[in-house]
Amino acid sequence: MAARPHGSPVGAAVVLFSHLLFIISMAILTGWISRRGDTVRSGWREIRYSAIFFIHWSAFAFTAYLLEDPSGWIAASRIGSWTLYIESAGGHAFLVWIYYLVRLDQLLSVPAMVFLVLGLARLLAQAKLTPPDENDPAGDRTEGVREDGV
Amino acid sequence: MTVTAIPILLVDIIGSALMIVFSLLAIVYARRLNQRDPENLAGIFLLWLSVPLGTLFTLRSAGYILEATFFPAAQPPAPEYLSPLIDGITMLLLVGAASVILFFSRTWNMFRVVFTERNMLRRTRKELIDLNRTLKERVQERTDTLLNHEKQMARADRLASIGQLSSGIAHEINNPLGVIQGYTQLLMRDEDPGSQRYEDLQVILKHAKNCKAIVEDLRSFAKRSLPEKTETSIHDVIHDAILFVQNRVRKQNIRIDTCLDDAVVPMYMDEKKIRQVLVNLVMNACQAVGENGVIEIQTKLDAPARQVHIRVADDGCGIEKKDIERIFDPFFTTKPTGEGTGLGLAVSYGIIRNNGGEILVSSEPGWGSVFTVILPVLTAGNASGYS
Repeated sequence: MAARPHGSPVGAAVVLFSHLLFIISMAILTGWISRRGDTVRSGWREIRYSAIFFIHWSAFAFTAYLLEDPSGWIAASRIGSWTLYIESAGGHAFLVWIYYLVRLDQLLSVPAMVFLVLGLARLLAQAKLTPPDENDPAGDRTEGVREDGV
Repeated sequence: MTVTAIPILLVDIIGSALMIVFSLLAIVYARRLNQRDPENLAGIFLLWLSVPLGTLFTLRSAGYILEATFFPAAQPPAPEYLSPLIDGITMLLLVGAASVILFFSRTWNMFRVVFTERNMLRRTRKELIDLNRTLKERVQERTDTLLNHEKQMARADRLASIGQLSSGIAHEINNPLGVIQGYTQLLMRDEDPGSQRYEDLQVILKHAKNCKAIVEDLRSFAKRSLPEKTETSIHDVIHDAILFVQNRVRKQNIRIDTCLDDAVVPMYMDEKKIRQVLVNLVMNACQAVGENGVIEIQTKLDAPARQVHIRVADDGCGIEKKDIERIFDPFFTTKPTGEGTGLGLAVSYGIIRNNGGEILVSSEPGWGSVFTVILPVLTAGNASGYS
């Protein structure tokens, strides 16, 4: 699903740039959750796992786009309904297999989304047990955030 | 290289279906979390993150399923005019999700600081309101404390002056009294016991001895000599005093309760003098409560101040406010003439001051009086420091 041909090189570059930005932001989210000490807390822990899976998914998608569109190292086409023809520009078989592997990016995006849903569900369950704290509307009342904001 | 597309197709189709379900679930949960507490920053962040992510994966998955359904073997899989639209939407949603993370991770700490400060301000405001509400009472309390201290200081000054005066008078009177006693005893030696002259001389000697006792008390009040300190348990001294007094007031049926703090350890003090003070206070209490009265003696260790508080409370008639000021003055008494010299409390005051302590009184007429003796806790190391 990730590797779909783009209409133009500009479109491919824009999507690649978006994936790069997405990877960086998810890495920041992971570090941010770790720094806040939330990695052991139910809810935020799952959201961190989700961010890690999203990083890998985005890296797979990025690689698939990179191999196929701007670089032209890989040319893939469908032969019939159940066969795929993949051709490497330099005749490198490993590039073909890398391309084949990164085309299975759904194996990463699905767990990422599952963990996000799990994290949100747990935070929601905790929020139902804890009344809103009027004194701390910015805080993560479901987890007892430290006052120093770390 | 020709490879089978089945794994990719299976993963994509099943994955797309699952992604639609979980993406929508993520948006629903994030929305519910936000609705529970719309001002919660974590909830806002998760909603803003879930919406672009969920939308991205829902659209892409739905798009893929549609492609696979309507263009199963097309290459490229969708009409070309759709590519810029798909790229644009993908970029917008990916960048949107990334921006949310970057924005919130940067502003989170700032928000935390702002809200921490706000909470501190709220707490301070609440404290200020409370303070303002009780300001009048606090001012009154402080004023009373200051007035009490002022009175105590004035009393201490006055008693010091009286003590100096008494000391001089006692010294001047003591010598003539000694001469009177001596000559009376000499004259008595020449008289027959039982004669009128002998009995007259006995009366003179008796009154001279009374005068001598009063002078001795005056000297005790004024004396600034080194107390004879030994390591003693104040609780033993209290028990001795109670025993002594109970023997004297047995007929009055007075109950003396004690509440002694086990934390009070033996300490250095002038045992005889402190016993004298306690006997004096308990005797006064007995006289105040009359028959069937209750006296309570408490001790309490004030560890930080290194002091022991001995509280003698009675439920007797109390002391009039006008009299409290003069209660420690020598020769001041509220008892009928002939029943007291008015030196007991003055002497007690002198003894306690001489032991480095303090004696306080509070009383409510009709409800009783409380005398509090505050003694420094002296150990072998600092016993001489309070003399």
